[in-house]
Amino acid sequence: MIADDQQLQVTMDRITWFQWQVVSLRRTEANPANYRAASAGFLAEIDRMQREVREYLSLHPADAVGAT
Amino acid sequence: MPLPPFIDGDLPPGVYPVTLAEALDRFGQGSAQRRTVGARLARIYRLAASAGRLARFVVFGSFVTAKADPRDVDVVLLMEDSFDLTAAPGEVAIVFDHAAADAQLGASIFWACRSGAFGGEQAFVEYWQARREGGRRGIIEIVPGGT
Repeated sequence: MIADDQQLQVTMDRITWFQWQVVSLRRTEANPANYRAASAGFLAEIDRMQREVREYLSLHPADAVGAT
Repeated sequence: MPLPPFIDGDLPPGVYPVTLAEALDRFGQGSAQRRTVGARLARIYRLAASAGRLARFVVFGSFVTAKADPRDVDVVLLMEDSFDLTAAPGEVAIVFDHAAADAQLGASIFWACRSGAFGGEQAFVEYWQARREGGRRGIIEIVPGGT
């Protein structure tokens, strides 16, 4: 769970890195089965982190004080 | 090379090469949960190595910290570019299926072939030191020998 704006930035940076990792796989992996399997893990983690970001951003800072 | 002591519950930043036996000796002891997760790590390593194309095997996350009861083990693999998942037998293939590995092996496993490592192989490995809270903490790389 993201607790503050610093962790928000870390998570957003991490999402970007994971996305570029999938791009790297897409550009280099000639084996479709390898690509589907390898990318799935990174994409699942991207989804998880984006849910965390959405959850954090859905709260006004005043709401977040009581929520954490 | 012996592993350094924890600093505030984490290894100091770095990628530390250890054998599986050394990793289990340092991190697979203590609570029942830790021993269970250590056994999972051993199984995963042996399955990944049995594919015959394992290039690098890195363990990161709470298992390589002082946390008493890590929930699972976090692993990232680099395979040789000649690796073909379709040629892997059933149990081995589970290692390379992120969802199945989580459900059946109790592990979060990421992987790529060497040429697909973003930023290059070493930068890719070193990235996994990143903490979700910011900053970096040390991780281990399982190397052959002493298993």
